[in-house]
Parts: sequence; structure tokens; C-alpha cells
Amino acid sequence: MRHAISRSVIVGVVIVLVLAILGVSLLTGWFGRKVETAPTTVPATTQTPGTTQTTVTAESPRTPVSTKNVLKVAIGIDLDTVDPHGQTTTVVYNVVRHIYETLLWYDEKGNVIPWLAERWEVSPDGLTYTFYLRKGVRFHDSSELDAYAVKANVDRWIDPTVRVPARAQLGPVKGAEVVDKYTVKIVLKEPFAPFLRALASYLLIASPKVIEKYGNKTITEPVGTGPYKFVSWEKGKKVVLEANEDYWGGKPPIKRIEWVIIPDATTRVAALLAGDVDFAYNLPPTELERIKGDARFQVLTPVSNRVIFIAMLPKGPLADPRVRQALNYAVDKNAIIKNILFGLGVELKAPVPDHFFGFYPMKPYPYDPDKARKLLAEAGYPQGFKVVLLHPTGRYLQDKQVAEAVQAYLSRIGVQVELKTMDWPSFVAEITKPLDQKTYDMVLLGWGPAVADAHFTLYGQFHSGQAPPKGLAAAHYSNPTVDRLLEEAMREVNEGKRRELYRQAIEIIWNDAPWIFLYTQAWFYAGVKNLKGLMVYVDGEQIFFHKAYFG
Amino acid sequence: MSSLSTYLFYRFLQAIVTFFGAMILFFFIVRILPGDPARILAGPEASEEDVAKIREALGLNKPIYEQFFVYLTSILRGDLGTSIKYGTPVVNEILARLPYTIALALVAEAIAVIIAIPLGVLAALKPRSMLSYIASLLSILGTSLPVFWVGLMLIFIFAVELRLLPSSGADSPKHIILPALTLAFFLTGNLARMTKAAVLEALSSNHVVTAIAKGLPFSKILVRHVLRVSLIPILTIISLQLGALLGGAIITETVFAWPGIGSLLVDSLFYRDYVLAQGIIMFIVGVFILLNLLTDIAYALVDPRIRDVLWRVR
Repeated sequence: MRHAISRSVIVGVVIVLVLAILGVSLLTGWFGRKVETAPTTVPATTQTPGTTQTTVTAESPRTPVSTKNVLKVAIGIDLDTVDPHGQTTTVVYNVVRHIYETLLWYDEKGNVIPWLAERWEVSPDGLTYTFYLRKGVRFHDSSELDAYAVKANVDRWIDPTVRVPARAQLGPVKGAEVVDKYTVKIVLKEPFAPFLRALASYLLIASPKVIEKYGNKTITEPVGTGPYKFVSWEKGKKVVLEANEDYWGGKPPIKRIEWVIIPDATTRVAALLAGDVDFAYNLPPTELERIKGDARFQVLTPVSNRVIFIAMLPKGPLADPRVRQALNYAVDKNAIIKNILFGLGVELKAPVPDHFFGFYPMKPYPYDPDKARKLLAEAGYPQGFKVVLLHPTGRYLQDKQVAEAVQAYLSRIGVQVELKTMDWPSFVAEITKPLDQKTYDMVLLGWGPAVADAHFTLYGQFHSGQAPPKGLAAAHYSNPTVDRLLEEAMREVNEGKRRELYRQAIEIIWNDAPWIFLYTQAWFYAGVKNLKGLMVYVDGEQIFFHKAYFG
Repeated sequence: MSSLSTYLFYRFLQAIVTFFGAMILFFFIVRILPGDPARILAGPEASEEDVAKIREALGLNKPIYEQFFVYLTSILRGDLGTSIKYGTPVVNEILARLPYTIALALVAEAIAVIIAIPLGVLAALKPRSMLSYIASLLSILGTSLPVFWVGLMLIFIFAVELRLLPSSGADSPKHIILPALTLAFFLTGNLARMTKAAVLEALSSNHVVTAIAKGLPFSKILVRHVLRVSLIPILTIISLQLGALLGGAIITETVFAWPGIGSLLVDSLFYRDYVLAQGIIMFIVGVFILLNLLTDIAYALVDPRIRDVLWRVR
């Protein structure tokens, strides 16, 4: 029996001891460990004296760094890749754009301005773009930005063995030619009018050494020319950048940026309120009033590139333009923006956001249920009809609530809406099916091109060649005139003529009403009040901290 | 000892069969989910040609049986594959997150054991006392309150209002306190209730009644006759709880931005990263099977009757 007692006691004691000891040792062992940093291509000897010291802070997270110099920013999703040409997601672009830069950039009004390229020329046929590079710009590994570096990036972008999700968005690039050390030509296969904007948005320039080292493999060492240098990326946790003291555009005031990954939006609010972060991305609209009313914080609500709409499939009653117009009259967009989005939206005046190149304002369909009923009766549906509305949940601001509001509005004119909710991957699988396999009549979708040019919204959504399964033109819209206008506009190098072509296309689309035109989505960001010098990017989604400082 | 080793051999074999069965099952379940990882990866605005290229690069254009065969052979070589989202080996992704999940699981379970077992024993010995009511209340709250709510409440009280602890993240040992307390809250109620029930049952069993009749001192009865018998269900619960925790406390990890296995699993499913999701699921299945195995071994060690029964059955 004595033997038995000791065994039972031992088992019990062992459990508690093992738990406690393992837990504590793991904790101290894990948290005290060196933060993993990506191997840097910079040999220590080539580093400038100033930078060798600062890397030390990265290796000992317990060493307090003066909070004045460290900016903590909460973002909602983890990075997927730091490869400059593998980018897909706006927030990730935003982070890596502090490391890499583009040949061109945008001013506050959305005009293209010189950046790594000081000036450029376009050939009359619209096929050759010549860029004169800024001299004396160095990558973080101290190699120089020259025509060869740019060519290496263009070559990698068009290399079909490299994973480049946005390849087609940049345009039909044929290749790059080095003219002299600081002059490079980019040649297109056919004219592509939005090319300069696309270049400013997509083609991040990485160090030629890194490109040589990785070839067509995913780049895991981000080395660019930007105001911040990469320090570490702990997946699911944070990305740390430190100021590039030798930045050609002037040393950034904030020494270190920590992008902290906090998936839950309410936790991001809490982290901001608790003072754990200085700035937080993409907060829930329901918290807008509370944070606005708190003197400690500033609120940003930039309007994005993303239009939100309900695409109607050309089948059944919805094949009749009068019915589609009726549905536009039946929904009170401004009430939705005010009451459901808490003001975080702007009513659509065209199928593209107001700040896009090529935007032309139409008269929004006013909320007029009587007119809607009349149009329905004219089209032969005085009693209304039944439709299925597909919508994602948790993808766009208040998407589910907006779909429910539309359902309620349409029921007032006799159109009975059955809602079909899906998570994002299932939703995308459903909308990419061909028309005859679709199990819905209307779909709530957002469309947010990275480039603020009407081409990317109109061509992607209204050119008949982009209908699923080939593209994602959600309304399966098909109109030969619109097709022709959009193709011409894509090739037209003259900006005035291009605007005119888009004006014509927008008028046809607006009156044909393949969408219920809803709103352009705005975002809700907030930060501590003394954080100054923030720059909002032209897409309204990205914030830049190059010149930010604590006042 | 031969009976024990034979038992262990069969038990081990069973574990391997279960593991591979689960692998086959999950391979197809994950892929039945609607959604195309290449499209999710490239984003809706990407062109179909680019999506097709990604699909090809990932081997997703091959027929599913061929994909399964590729997967199986790589598993047998000990390779869990390459994550679709990150483009890195799945093993690396899991290993990078694992310490966080293990640390959180162990600390939470330790808190739960330290509170729940004495509470359960005392509640059983004095069924009408205050402690007994507290134990019942804890177990009711633990089963009825939503995890995210408790987590957010703790964040708002201790981080936002009192500013005693960090709201989220995993930068220092202080960061583990709130998520561990959240989890421990749910573990404690369950464990205390099971402990109370087990001790109550043991107290009313014949051998304890005999021991009391013999006039043995109560402390001896408690340790020798009551606790030893009640240890089996308690062990079972602890091992089940640990198994669940090592699979990643999905909601708790998400609320506290704790970079463990659970948040990685959610993320991988959201991206339809089949390879990563499958890798994590197989890891979780493996942990469960291993813990079950260990529990069975522990049973056999603690209770000779179990291995005798098993031996006779065989």
C-alpha cells in the first residue's frame, strides 16, 4: 500500500510541477530569446558607422527605447510576403512601401509626380517611356540605384516564372532597356494609357543584389531605397522597421516603427485606448463617435478607392434596364451611409470614386419609391418579384447590415429579397462562376483598384471580355459601345481625349444601371493627438509615416 | 510487465492508424471547402491569366488524387509541404507559433489546476459551504459566458481602465497574464466540477465506507482512498483540456493578438492555404492522439485494473 500511495501522489505532484516548470521556463526562455531577424545582405563592414549601433536595439526587446522615437501602429492582418513584386494586399503594400519605393509617386491631389525618377518622356506612339533617374540614391545595402537596378526589377516583374499577382495591372510591359547609367526605357507591347499611374502604384524597386540572389524565388529580405529599413518580421506578431539615416529625402524623424498585428478590431480600439499603440488602422464604425469624443485622439476618415455596389445579373426581370433603374430609385443610399456606415461613405455619382482620373459626375438616382413602383409596373412587374442577393460578411464595412437594409428597401416596392451570406473565399468562388451556374440574381461587391484611374474600375467591371469566369465583371455587363469606348480609352495617350471617352462610357453605364450604385467606402483610422505629419496616400487606405513626428 | 508492453504496442499501433485515417479525411475535407487559394492570394482585381499561373505554380491545377499522392509521399518523407500564403515550409510556420501556444496552454492549465483541484475537493467535503457554491457558480459561468466577451472585459478592465497590464500582443511575460486568465476561467469551472464529482463518488464508495468504519484517520482516507481513485477522471479532463489548448485557443488567441497555432489556423483557412491548414490540423490531431496515448499509459500506471482488463480482452 505504501508503494501505491507514493505512486498516486507522485503522479499528481508531477502533473502540477511539469505544467508549472514547463510554463515558466518556456516563458522566460521564449520571451528572453533574441528576436529573429532576417539575414541581411549587408556585410557589417560596408555599413555606415551610424547604423551599426541602432541594430542592437532590435536584438534586445527588453531594452527600453525612448518612446518618443518609437511609433507603434496596429494593423488587422499579418503580412503574407515582403517580396516587392508578390504584393496583393493594400495594408501589406503600405508596410513594405516604407522600405521600397517607386519611380513615380502621387501628390495630395492624386497627380503623378517624380520620385526615384526625376523626370520622364513618353514617345508619341505611347509605347516607350524614358525615365531619368535621381542620382546618388542608395539602397539599404549601399548598392546604387541606377538603370541596371531598374531593369533588373522590370525583368523580374515580367518573368513568367515569378509569382507576380498584379502583373497584368501594370500593363503590357515588353521589357526595359538601359540607355546610360541613369536613364532607362520601359517599352510596352501596345499603348497603355494608365501606365504612369500603374507604375507609381505597383512597381516597387528592390536592390539588384537581392534580385540576383533570389531570382524567381520569393524574396524574404526586403532591401529598398525607402525611408525605413527592415529589421524583423515575427509572423502573426509584428514587423519592425528602423529609420534609414541616409534617406535621400531626408532622415525620418521617428527612429523605429513597429507594425503590431492585432486581428480583432475591438482589441485594436482597446490597444489604442490603453496606450499600447499610437495609431490603429481600420477600426469599427460603431466606435467612431466614442473616439471622436475623446480628446486624447485624432480621427482620420479618408475616402478609399473602393466603390461598393450591388451588381445585377442580366437575367429574369433584372435583364430589363427599367427594373434596374427602379431598384436604384428604391434604395436610400444616403440613409444607409448615415445610419449604417456612421458617415463612412460617399454616395456614388459615377461607377468610379470622385477622385479618380476619368471621373465624370452624373446625377445620383434620388430615393423615390413611387417612381420605382411606376417603373416596375411599366416593365410588367406591378406586383414585384423575388430575387436572391449574395453578400460577403466581414469583408467590407458593415456589409451584412447594408445588405439587410437593401432587402428592407426593396421589400417596400414589392421586390422580395432572399439574402445569401458567405465567407470571403466561398463568396469569391461563387462570383467567379459562369453566368449559367450562378445561384443568385444580385451580389453586393466592393471594387478597389490600387490605381486611382477609371480604367481599372470600368474595364474590370464593364468590359464584356472581363465577365466571369475569365474576369470578375460582376454584372456580366455586355455593351459593344462601352467595350469600344473602354478599349479606346485604354490606348489613348491624350488625357483630354481619354476623359471624354470615359465621360461617354460613364453616361451609358449610369443610365443602363447594371448596378445599384451605392457608395465609395471611407476608412476609420485613429491615433494619438500629438502624432503629426501623417501622409494619406492617394488611395485613402495607406498612411505614410516618412515625416511623422510626436509633437 | 509483458501485459503492459503488449498493451502499449497495440495502443501505439492504434494511434498510428488513427493518425493516417485523420490525415486522409482532412485532406479531402479542407479541399471540399469552396474557394480557390490562387484567386484569394491574387485578389479579386487580378487577371485570370495571373491567377492561372499561380494555380499552376502551386500544383492546384492537377487532379485531386494526384495532389493527394504528392501530399502522401511528402508526408512519408517527413515534409509537411510549403505554405501557399507564405511560400515557406509549413513546419517552420508551425514551429514559430508553437512556443506561444504551449506557453499559453501550460500557464492557463497550471492556474486552473492550482485553483480548481483544492476548490473541488473542499467543495465535495463540505457540499453546503460557500466554497461549494463558488465552485458551482464558476462552472456555470465558465460554460455559459462567451470567451471573447470575458477576454474583452479583462482587456477593458486591466488594460484600458486600470492600465496594469498590456491589452494584447506577446512581447513580455506580462502579456501572457490576461489570455491565460481568460482561458483558466473556462478551464477552472469544468475541472472543479469534475473534481468535486469524482471526490463525491469516491467518498460514497464501499472501500471508503469500510475505511471510515475501520476508524482510519480522515487525512489518510482522503489521500490513500479518495484522491487516488478520483485522480483518474481528473487526469482525463486535464489531458483533454491540454489537448484542446495545444490545438490553439482560437478565439482567445485572436482577441489577444496572441501569435499561436490557433490564430494561424484561422488565417490559413481564410486564405484557403490548404497545405498550411492541413499541416496545422495534422499537428493538432497528432497532439491529441499522443496525449490520449499518454493518458492511457498513465491510467495503466495508476490503476492496475485497467491494464489487467485490457490484457484479458486481448
